[in-house]
Amino acid sequence: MMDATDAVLIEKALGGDEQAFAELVRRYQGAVCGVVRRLLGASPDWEDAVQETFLRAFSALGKFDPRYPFGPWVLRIATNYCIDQLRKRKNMKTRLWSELGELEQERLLRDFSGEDARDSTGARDVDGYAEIAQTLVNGLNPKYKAAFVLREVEEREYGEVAKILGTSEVTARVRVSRARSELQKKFNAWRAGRGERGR
Amino acid sequence: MDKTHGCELLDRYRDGELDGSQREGFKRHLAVCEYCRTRMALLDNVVSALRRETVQTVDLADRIARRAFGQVAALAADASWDGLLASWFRPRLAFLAFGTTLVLCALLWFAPGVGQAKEYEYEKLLNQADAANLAETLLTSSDTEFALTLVQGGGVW
Ligand SMILES: [Zn+2]
Repeated sequence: MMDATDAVLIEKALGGDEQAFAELVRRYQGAVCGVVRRLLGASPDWEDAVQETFLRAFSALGKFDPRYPFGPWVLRIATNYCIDQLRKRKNMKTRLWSELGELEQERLLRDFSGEDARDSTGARDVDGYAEIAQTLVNGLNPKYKAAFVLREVEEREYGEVAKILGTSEVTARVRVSRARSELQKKFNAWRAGRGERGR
Repeated sequence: MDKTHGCELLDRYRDGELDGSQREGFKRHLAVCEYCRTRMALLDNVVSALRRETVQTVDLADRIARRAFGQVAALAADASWDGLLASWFRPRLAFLAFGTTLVLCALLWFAPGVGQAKEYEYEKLLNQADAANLAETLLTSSDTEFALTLVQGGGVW
C-alpha cells in the first residue's frame, strides 16, 4: 500500500478499498492542512475544513483523471472551500493600530517597514508579529489571499498556483501582484489608525 | 514615497525572475527608492511571520476514510429493502420528523389564545392578528409600546 502510486490508490478506493483512500489522505493531508491553516488562520474550524476537503475529493474521485497529479486537484478543492468560508466570515476581530501601546507601535513600524527589519531577528515576539501579519493578510480579498499564500508563503511555482486556483498563470500572477500592493495599502491604512477591514 | 522608474520590476524581483544584470539594476534601484524598500521589507516580514506559524498536521486519514465510506454505505443502504428499514433511524429522517414537529408546534403556538407572544414575532403577529382589533391599538400607541403590549399581555385579541 505504501509504495502504490496515487493512481493505484485512487482505483482501489473507487473499488471500495477504505484503506487505500486512507493512505491517499495520509499522503496529502500535510499539504491540505498547510493551505487550510494558512488561509483560515488559527480558527477552530480548520480541522473540519480538512475533513470536508477530502470528503468532497472522495465524492468527486470518479471524475478525477489519474493521468494528472492528485496534489493540485485536492488543493484546489481545499482552496475553493476556504475561499467560500472566508467570504462567509464577517466582522473579523482585528486589533486597531490605535489600540496598541506607543512602544508596540514603534517596534512594529521599525520591524515591519524598516530597512533592516530582516536582520533584527534577536528577541522577537513571534505571536505579536504573526497576529499583525494575519490581520493584514486577512484583510485581503480571499482570492488574492489564496494566491499570495500559495506563492509567497508556500513558495509554489506560478504554474502550480494557477492549477490550484483553477486560473491561467497570468491571472495567478496578477492576483499575487495585487495582493502585494493591497498589503502595503492595508498596512498604511492600519497604521494610520483606520484599521481598514477586508472587502 | 512615490513610484519611480524601476518599481515595475519589484514583482519579478520577488519572484526571482530577473536575470543577473536586471537583478543588480533593481538592487541599485532599491537603494534609492523608498517606496520599493518599504514594500520589500513589509512583504518579507509578513511572509516570515506567516511561515513561522507552526502548522500542525493531525493524522485524520483513518477518520476521513471511515466517514467517506460511511457515506457510501448509507447511500447503498438507501437503495435496498434492508436499508429502507434501517433508514428509519437515519439522521435525515430524524431531522425531517423534528422539522415537522417544529412546524406543528409553531401552528399550535399561533393559534389564538395559546402561548405567549414574543417581540421578534411582532411582524408575524401583525399579519395574523385580527385587523379590526388591531386598528385601535395601532392608532393609540407607538410600535414599541405595541410590541411590549404583545409581550406582556400575551396577545391583543
Ligand atoms: Zn521603486
